[in-house]
Amino acid sequence: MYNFDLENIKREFQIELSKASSESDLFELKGKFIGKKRGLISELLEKIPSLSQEERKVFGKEVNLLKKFFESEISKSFDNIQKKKSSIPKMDLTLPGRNLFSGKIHPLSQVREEIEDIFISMGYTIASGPEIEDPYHNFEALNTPEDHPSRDIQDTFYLDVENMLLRTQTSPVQIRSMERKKAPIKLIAPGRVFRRDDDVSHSPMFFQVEGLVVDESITMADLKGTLLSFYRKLFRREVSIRFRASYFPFTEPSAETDLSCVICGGSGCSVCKRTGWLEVGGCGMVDPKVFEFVGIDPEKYTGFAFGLGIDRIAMIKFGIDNIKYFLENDIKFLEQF
Amino acid sequence: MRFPLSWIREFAPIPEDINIVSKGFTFSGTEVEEIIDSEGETVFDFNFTVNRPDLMSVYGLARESSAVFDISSPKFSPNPRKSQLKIEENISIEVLDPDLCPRYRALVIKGLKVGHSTSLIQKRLIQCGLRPINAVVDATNYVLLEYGHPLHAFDLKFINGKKVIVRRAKDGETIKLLDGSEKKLTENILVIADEIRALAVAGVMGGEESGVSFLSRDILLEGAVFNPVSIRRTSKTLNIHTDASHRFERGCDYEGPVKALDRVAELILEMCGGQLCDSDIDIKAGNKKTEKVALRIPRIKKVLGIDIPKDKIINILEKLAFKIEDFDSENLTVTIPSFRVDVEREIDLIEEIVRIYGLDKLPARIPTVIDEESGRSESQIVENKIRHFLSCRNLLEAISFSMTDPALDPLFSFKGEEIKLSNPLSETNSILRRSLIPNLLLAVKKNSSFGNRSFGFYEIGKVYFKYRKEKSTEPNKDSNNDYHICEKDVIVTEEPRLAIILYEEDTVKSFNQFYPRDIYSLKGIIEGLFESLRKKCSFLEERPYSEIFSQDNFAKILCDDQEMGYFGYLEPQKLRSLEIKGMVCIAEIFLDRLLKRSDPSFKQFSRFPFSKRDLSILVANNVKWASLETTIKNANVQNLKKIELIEVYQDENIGKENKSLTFALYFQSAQKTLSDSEIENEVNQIIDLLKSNFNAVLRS
Repeated sequence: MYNFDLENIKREFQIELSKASSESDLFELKGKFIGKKRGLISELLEKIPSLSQEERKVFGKEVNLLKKFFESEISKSFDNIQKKKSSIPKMDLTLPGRNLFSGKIHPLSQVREEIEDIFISMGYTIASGPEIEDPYHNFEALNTPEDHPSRDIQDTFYLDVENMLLRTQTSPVQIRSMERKKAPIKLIAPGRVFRRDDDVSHSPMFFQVEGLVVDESITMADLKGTLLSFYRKLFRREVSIRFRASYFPFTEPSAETDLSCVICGGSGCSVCKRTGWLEVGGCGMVDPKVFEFVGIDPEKYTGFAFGLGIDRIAMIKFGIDNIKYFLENDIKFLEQF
Repeated sequence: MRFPLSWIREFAPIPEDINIVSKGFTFSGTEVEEIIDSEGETVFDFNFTVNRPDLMSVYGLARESSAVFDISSPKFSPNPRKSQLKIEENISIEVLDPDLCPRYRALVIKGLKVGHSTSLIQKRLIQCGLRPINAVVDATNYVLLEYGHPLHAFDLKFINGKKVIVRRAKDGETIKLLDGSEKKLTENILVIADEIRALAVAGVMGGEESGVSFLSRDILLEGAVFNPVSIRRTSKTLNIHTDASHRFERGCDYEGPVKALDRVAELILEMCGGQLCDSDIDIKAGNKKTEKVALRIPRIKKVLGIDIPKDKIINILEKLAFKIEDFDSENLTVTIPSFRVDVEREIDLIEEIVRIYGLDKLPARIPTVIDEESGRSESQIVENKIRHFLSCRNLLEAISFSMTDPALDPLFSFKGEEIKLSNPLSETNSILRRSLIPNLLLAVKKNSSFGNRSFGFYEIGKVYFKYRKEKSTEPNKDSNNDYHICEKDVIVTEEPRLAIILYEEDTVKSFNQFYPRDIYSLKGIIEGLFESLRKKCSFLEERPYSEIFSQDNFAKILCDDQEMGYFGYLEPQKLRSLEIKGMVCIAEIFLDRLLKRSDPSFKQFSRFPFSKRDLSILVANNVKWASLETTIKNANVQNLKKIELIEVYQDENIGKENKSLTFALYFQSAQKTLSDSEIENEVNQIIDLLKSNFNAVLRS
């Protein structure tokens, strides 16, 4: 004869059920009584083989009834707790949301990243280099000797360390990259540059991107196509560019690049000063002297280089009318981007 | 530089339409910056590039027009009437430094009567921005504008000993110049002197004494070629920039003195009468060799990517006054005219050809070259990740100047010496920053004064400093720092940093503010940032670097046992002296060792549920959470997985010297669901630990 007090187990269950107030309590209760491995019911069922044939029938039936009872009771309790839980009071959904994401990336960083992404999609390396430079990398290797008037084009900040200056352009990065990698090369160098110039349209510190491509068959036509394709992607619209002959010590032939005005489409507006064109930067074919400085054979290799102002692009792209805003760190400005 | 179109038209039949003229010049390399109407006449303001001094005259522009507009070449052949007077009887000339003065040519006119120049000459001088003085000086200036070669006129009476000596100045020698200034000279400066003293600073400015006035009767006209480097240095040393020095330092036509002097003599004779001596004195430091450059036709295509027909090439070069001497199907030999000081290589000729042929005719192509590196560097990628992480944490990215205020910088600097600018624009921006904080603090000051009461900025940028090289301070070549080893063993370095600054006025409480701008939020941002970069950071409370920090609320940030930065509150009293009234907490993180990515590595995790137990204990105020947490962790409680602080509570009821800490303990086994008694055992183990180590009293 079996001597399991099923009534007692039932009583114990009811007491514990009445105490259970949370879902986790119920899970624990469920595990204790009807859990597959350690539950009491499982333990009871394990005893069956030790009983006689008749006892088995009766006992099995009773245990199964008990199990069903436990299951339905637990399930009811779950429902009750769920009901309590889902009874949310009416809230005012017009109240402002918690302010999680009102941070912003600086417009210059945004534009720089977009420019970088476009050139990366064309297989370029993003190069960087020191902001404090020596005159060799900032000027001489760029075919700008000290005693030549081309030095005067860029007003330079000098430092109290002998022979050191703040770079006036990111071109020294090109020199350092060519010294290290030689050819072929395909890079852009974004970064901050410094010129001793502070007026309405000039800031003593601003941001530039310069590009350089060197290989055995690079021509000025490649330069034109590259810039055209870049500006189309940057402004996400059809644009045209034109070259004006110019002079830079480190390129020959040299040109200024004009971009058809992306504001008015070329019909003339205040941004393009009614010309339909925006001046966006200098470019040209790398001067053979520069190749000689960095040890690249100017007979075998040709290359193009170009420069543009990130500040200038951001102003055009976002309609900003004053270069000074970029470094003022005014919240009213920064939170707009 | 301004020139009236009518004057250019005297030499070249340029198109009637001024827009065509303007475009023609601009697209071929000489920008027309402005078109000015001067009393009914069109005046162009040209922006000449530094390589084209030959264009800076009416004749030069006419010469260029011949190629740009495909018109006839200009003529310039002055022919002044000579007298029987012998020049040797009036003057002798000696050039002592021919390297600085490769050519010196002079004419002498006697018995003239100096009056005012003609109204046409005066009008043109004014149109070009010069001031009429007297007929002789005006004539030299007129020829400067017309033909481009600087000239000078001396009053013969003031040349002692009838002898001109071109020599270096003696150290300390002085001269009073035409502009009235008195200059002390050095031996690097070339002067035009007589037997006694310097009469003029060569190629820059004449002396006051020997200048031509209305009283002058006999004059010496000088047309010379000076060394461009020497003129540039002199102009910089004396800080004088003149029309003459501007041209000479760019280089001038070796043959220029011939026609220029003849032309000025012609004009002076017309206006002032007088007699021109029978010949010139022309001292040359040897004949200048005519330059010849080989031009390979296929090279043009290699550089430009376009086929230009050979006859077109020859036509362009000839219009630009180059001479094609001999050629075959692929090679030309090109003779460079003396006025083209900028052309000496094949590439210079290719530029000449394309700027006239038209840059607009270049096709657009995309290069196929492949750079194996390609893409961003590791540090650029991580910098961008940091930017995106922080901008998703309610912070605005700031970008400040690299220069800062020497009064603020030392408060936040703890290593290296400051680097000063030799030529700053202002005292408050006269050094390079050694910390990102000072400029951010100024941004906080400005924005709080505009009424912003709660905000946060971050900035990623470099700091700069120098130090003396010792063996122990060899720069680390693997780090992300840029450095230069300069003279006298001074090392200049640039280090990437990240700074975060949070500002909050005491009273701020806002419904939708996600987190308060306080030190615990800041610490959470730092921890989250390190975690996002898969690094673990720890903190060490310390005395701060300087007085500006709150002395009790400052900690270093550590990672892999290395110092990675610091964070803390700034002292409110010090902030008030900066007119900042709220609370400011800051962090500065050294990025050089952080700018590397690492991959996450998977660890097996338990599939069994957590069991949670809450504990509330009473401990003394000075018990640090970190030591309590570490003690528990170090005790190796078998199934304890996590400790979560729920509340820190201080109240009179529990005693001022006490605080109550409530925290949750999470237990979990990898093998099974833990039983109540197993958990109970471990909780008791922890309680005992807290009792014996911290005198903790269990509250519930």
